[in-house]
Amino acid sequence: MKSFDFDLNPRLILLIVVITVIVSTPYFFLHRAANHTVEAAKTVERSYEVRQTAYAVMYALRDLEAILVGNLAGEPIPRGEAIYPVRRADALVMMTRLRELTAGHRGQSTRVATLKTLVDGRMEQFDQMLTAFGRAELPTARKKLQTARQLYALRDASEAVIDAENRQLEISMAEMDDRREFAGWLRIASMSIQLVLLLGAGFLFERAWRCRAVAETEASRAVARADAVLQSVREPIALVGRDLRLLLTNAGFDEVYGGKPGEGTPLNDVGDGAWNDAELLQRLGDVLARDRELWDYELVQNRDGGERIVFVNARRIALPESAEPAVLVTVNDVTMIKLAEEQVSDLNSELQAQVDQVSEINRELEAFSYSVSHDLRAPLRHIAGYSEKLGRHLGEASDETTQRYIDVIGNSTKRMSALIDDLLLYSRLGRSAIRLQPVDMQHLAEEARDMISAHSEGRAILWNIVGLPVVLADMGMMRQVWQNLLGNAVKYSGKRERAEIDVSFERDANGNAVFHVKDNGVGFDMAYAGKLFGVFQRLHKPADFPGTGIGLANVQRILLRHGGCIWVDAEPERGATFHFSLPAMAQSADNQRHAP
Amino acid sequence: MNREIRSILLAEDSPADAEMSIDALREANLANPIVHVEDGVEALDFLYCRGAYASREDLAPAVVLLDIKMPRLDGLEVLKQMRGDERFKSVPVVILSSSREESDLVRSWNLGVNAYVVKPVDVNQFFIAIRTLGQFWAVLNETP
Repeated sequence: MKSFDFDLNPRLILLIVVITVIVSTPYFFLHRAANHTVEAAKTVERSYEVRQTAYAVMYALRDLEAILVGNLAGEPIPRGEAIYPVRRADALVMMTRLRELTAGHRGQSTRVATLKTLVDGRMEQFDQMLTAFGRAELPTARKKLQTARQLYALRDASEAVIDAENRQLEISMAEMDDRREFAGWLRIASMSIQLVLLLGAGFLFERAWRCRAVAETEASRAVARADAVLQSVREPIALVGRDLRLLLTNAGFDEVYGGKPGEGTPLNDVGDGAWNDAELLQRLGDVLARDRELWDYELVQNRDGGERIVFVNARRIALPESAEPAVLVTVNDVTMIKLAEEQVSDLNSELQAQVDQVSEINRELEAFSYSVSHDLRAPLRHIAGYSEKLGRHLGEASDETTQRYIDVIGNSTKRMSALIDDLLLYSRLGRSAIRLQPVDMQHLAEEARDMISAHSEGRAILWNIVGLPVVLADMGMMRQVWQNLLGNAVKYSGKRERAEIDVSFERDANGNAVFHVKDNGVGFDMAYAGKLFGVFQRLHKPADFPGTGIGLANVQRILLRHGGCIWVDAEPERGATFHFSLPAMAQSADNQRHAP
Repeated sequence: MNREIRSILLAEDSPADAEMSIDALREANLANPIVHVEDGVEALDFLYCRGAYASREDLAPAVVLLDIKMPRLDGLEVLKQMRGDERFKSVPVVILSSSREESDLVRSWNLGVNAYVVKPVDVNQFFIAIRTLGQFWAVLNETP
């Protein structure tokens, strides 16, 4: 069980404090206001009592005076003598009470003290008057009454007390009204604030509740999605917990390992011992206990009618609902890949065998061309040498015919030697490595032109070589291309009064460099164009145009080795145009230094 | 300087080539005797006064003309042994071969040959080449 612990974040604490303050402050003020009201009420009550008591004192004294005046007038009040001491005691008690009530009220207590002095003085005069009257000294009694009325006039003093108390009462009443009004406002304000608070709390609660509902929906959707993904992954996936017991498997796992195993089944009981591999179980245990990772562990599992080769991957994960970790085991079936790898390996060794064979053939070819180079030339040399010696030996004895035979033998050996050299060159072109470097085609073409011009004195040739780029190619081979093509152009236009040879360049739609060599020579019938690039193939008689017929074969071989090609347009007696291309990738793209 | 007349050693297995070469050298009117051997082993026998040449006067040749392709021991092997020996290190060696193969050229120059000549098929050029060789190496060239 997960323990609930309150998350006491500071904002929550602040909120609680604010609410407490807002709720309790009005109470505090209301309480104070109530206290004040009670106090004001007490003050008012006391003021009323003070007034009443003052009046009572005055009434008691009037009663005493009335009894005395009655006696003097000879019309005594019935039972006057009995009442007098009672009213006199009343007056004293009232006076004492008045003093108690006004004690602590500076102005009032002074006024009460004055009143008491007057009351005491007056009562003393009344008592003496009563005594004089008892002795029947009527003039003395009348004089005492006079003295009491003149010296101890009570009206002003008592009215001063009552007036002061009235003023105090007014103040107290006004104060009490103020308090009451303030308390009313306070009540309204606190009620409003509390109402606002209540509304706020309600709103917040509603929002939190809605958020929570949304979050719960999202969470359940995420869970559903994760489960859908897990179940639709074709690779077997299993989650194992303590003691490598299954917690969860996906449909892929169940399908491969024969049905859904119950939760808690030990992994090594699944799939007829497919997982019963001591090292694997040990390592999965390490993953679980020590958080090791297992990468591409190759496992061979038996299945009906064969073997399955799988890569097992495992890593430890924490589960949200449990404190114990679990291990996520994924299985990749690599049987087909392994088979394919074996096939590739077989094919590779087959290929290697063929490569070896080709290398062997190449070595033999090399040995062959070496013998051609060395061994065929020696007998030729001997034929030439000895036919020469024969000529000398015959000396004068040799006739014209003999000499012609000897010449034919000599020429044939020279021609054969040239053929052998050409053949060797052709063979070498196919074998030697291509050294790619930036080659200035304009420069090479001009160089070939100059060399050919030097050997064709007396010929009128109009050259036009413009705008050739720099390309990536083998310099030596490109030199041969130009020498052959320009040489041919000059050779086959030999019967023209003025040969015209145009060399131009363009880039085709694919970016390939295309060169054109156009002459105005004899041309040829396009029906034989296919023979043009064959070794020792010729379209003209040696008597008309000398040559072994290997030049164009060499050119084609060079261009093919560069990934390019060569083709031709021609018409008998209207010249020929040779086109050749070099692929875009083998060139430095924008190095066209010779803009037309 | 040793003014004794040194010989010209010609190592050539082909009798026809040898005959033509000797003819050509004779045409050069050289005073140097021409010694013809037919393979590399005989060439070394001559150089080290062994076997058939045990009794000859021990004098290094003026120039050695070597064919590459010979029975038993080829020309390049002879060249290698000569360049490994103080006594023959400075003796001029000319390879005379039918081969224009780059590999033969490279190996010869790496071994320290003094000249490499491809035997011309044209008989006139052949005679001129051999005659010139003989005159240059046996007469004009001087060795320590």
